[in-house]
Amino acid sequence: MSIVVQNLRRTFGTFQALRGINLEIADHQLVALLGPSGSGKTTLLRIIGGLDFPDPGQGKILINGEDVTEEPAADRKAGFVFQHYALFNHLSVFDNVAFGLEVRRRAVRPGKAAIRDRVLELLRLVQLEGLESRLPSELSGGQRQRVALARALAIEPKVLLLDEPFGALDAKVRKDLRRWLRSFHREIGVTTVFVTHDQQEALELADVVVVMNQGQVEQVGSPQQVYDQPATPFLYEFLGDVNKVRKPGRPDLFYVRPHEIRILFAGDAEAEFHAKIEHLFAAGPSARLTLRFQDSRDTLDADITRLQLEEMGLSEGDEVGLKLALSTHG
Amino acid sequence: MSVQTRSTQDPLWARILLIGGMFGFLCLFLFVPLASVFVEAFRRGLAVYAAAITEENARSAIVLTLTLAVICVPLNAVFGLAAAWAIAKFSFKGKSLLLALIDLPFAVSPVVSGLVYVLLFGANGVFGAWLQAHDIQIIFAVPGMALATIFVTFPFVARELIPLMQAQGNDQEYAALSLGASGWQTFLRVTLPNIKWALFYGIILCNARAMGEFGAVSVVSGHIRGETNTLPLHVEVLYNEYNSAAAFACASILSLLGLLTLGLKTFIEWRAGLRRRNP
Amino acid sequence: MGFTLAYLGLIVLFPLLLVFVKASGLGWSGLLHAVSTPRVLAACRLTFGLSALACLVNCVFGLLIAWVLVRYRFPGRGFLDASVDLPFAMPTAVAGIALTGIYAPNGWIGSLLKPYGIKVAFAPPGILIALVFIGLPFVVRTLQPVLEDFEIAQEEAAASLGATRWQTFCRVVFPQLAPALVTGTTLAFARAVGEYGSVVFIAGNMPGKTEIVPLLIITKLEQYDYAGATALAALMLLISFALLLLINFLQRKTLVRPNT
Repeated sequence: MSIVVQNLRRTFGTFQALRGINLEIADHQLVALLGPSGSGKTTLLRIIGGLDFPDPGQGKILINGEDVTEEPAADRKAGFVFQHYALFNHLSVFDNVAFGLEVRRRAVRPGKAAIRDRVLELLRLVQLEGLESRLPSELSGGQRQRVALARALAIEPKVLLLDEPFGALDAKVRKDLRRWLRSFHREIGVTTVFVTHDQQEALELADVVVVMNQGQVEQVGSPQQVYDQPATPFLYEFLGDVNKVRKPGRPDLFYVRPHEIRILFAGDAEAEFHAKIEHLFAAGPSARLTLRFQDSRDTLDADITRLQLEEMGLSEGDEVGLKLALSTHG
Repeated sequence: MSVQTRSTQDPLWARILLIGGMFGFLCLFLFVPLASVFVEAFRRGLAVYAAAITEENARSAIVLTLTLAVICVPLNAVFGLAAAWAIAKFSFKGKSLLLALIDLPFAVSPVVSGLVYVLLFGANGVFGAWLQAHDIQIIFAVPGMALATIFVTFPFVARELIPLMQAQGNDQEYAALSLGASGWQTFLRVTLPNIKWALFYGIILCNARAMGEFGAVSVVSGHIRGETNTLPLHVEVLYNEYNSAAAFACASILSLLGLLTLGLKTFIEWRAGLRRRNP
Repeated sequence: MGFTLAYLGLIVLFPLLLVFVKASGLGWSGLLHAVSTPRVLAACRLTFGLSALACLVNCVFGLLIAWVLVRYRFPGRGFLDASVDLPFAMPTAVAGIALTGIYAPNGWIGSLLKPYGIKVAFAPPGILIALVFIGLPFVVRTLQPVLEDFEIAQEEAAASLGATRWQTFCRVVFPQLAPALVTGTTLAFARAVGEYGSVVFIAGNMPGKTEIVPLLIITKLEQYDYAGATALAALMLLISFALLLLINFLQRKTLVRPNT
């Protein structure tokens, strides 16, 4: 189901959380709302889900073409997964997942057997079969996360909304779940929107990245687009590591990414600048060099492969030449 | 945050109904009785009121009540502090037993509490013969009433302090000791300031109960007018004599005590709350 | 440490154990006989029955009051919140005569009910009202912190899954409040069965009809029936101990509950 947001405004007291958001999300997409704290991304997600509402008369939400702006959450059929899962602590995993089906009006409530089948099927889908009678307190963070997901899916939602789904988990678990969510989304196909402040996560997972800042949408695009062609300096800095460089003789600043710097031998004719390796960090998949310019005393971080490091035989204190692909203006 | 967001707000009619229900209930059970005390106290006019509270027996009742408070509250404050200190800062066998013992007076009927002292020190009691031989009067005299009051009010200070001190842990004390402070200095400069509001609060509650206690002192006192009647007991005497205006007059003083206690409690919570928000 | 133990032992333990020692001096049959006279049984039925009923009332209204105080915002909320402690701060005798004054046949409310033949003061309903009065703060104050800490996201989750507010309350909120509710109600019950000051004025104290156990103990004492008084006190003490253990157990259970 598609989601359309029109001119959405939301103010809390004097704080403008959303200043006129316009957004279109196509059916089946996995969309990331990315931005720093306070950018309004969670507020937007909650309004889409019906947990919050825009300022009176200030905007519309359309799901699958229908205006749902005034519809409360209970009627909206938007599955919501909360940052800390909000599982019902006194209910078993089974009862948690079955909840959305159990509370339906008698006319539309499925029978006990049908509910049981659906719950078990969902638990199988999220790879938690066998854990139906456990309580949330007996589960790990990653397991609780998946129960929350199954619970939201039980109501056959039109859209799936995830608020910082991996924020509360360990790094390793987070990585595994990211991979899992990607394939899971392909399997179930429901339009999914998730909120994150982790740009790595957004770029890795999403079909479309919506970058927000201070209540506004800064850019919308594929992860590739947003990373390679950031529309504003904020985006450039937010989406990855950045060096700010001054060309000698020019007062303006240029942005360059650490991996876009070519390291050459000091005597190489192609070298545009010269610098000294002040610090070398190679305990990882690539090597990071901190370079200090000879003429301007600015520093620069450059990433090169371990291979190149060995081939060139570089170490701290060496002098090198630099060629910068200065494509982006600061 | 416990205030409801739009999606978790109860419908308006429910809110009105519940708030109305609460108002009705509280009025019926709290405010009307409280108001009636003052209305009845002044029913016969200011002169009668003034006479009732300055009459000789009333005055000695007030003095006795204050005396008991002055004896019992400091004792229980010190004890409560010691007990809370022991429980929070040390681990030892029988800690949960100690905790349960501290809660005991709350669960025991005040009448039973008074009874045990009669059993101990009454004429037929365990020490009765010995006391009579030495011409010491405990029951039906102030010492007995003091003991009964101490029993009934001793949990208050301890109960306020224990959870707080347990939550605060030992870190600050260890830090002070490691910096060279003596045990006593640590207590005065580190422990005490951290608990001062809870201590104050416990003392206020202890005092309110000590001055207002009825059942336990009733058993122990012997109701000797002018000598062993506290103010609450004096109220009972007046009421049973159908002297309701005087009874309510004295009761109004006790009510003021209760209201003062509430006011101080609110003040403390406000100050303590403020401090919590600005550590 | 030693000071604490000595103080406690002297003031608390020793005197209480004495009750049992004295009571056991009667022998088992003597004890049983003393507590099973019709008068005593009637007093027990009255005390425990009305205390239980009062606790039920406090259960319902305590929950209501705690909910309103924690969840709603309205003028005067802080004042009403503080006033819930009134029964706790007020001397019991004052509450006793105030309630009696109001519900007596010529009192403010009693006179309104008289034409309907409803007798409140000097009858069991009056005792019930007094017991409700003194038990109220226990339920409210036990519930409030639990309600305040309640994870509101769970209610939002229930809403997003299609539940109405009522369904959310019944299926999500109430079950998680139940332990605290039970603890508060038990505390109120323990207080109610032993209550003397607030009840003794409004009860009328007619043996067999409106005589509560604490009063019966005092009456026996005044009649020098030490044996009878002690037997009854021992019974009350046993029940107090049992309730105390129950309360401690319940409190530990509610505190241990993990939330995330």
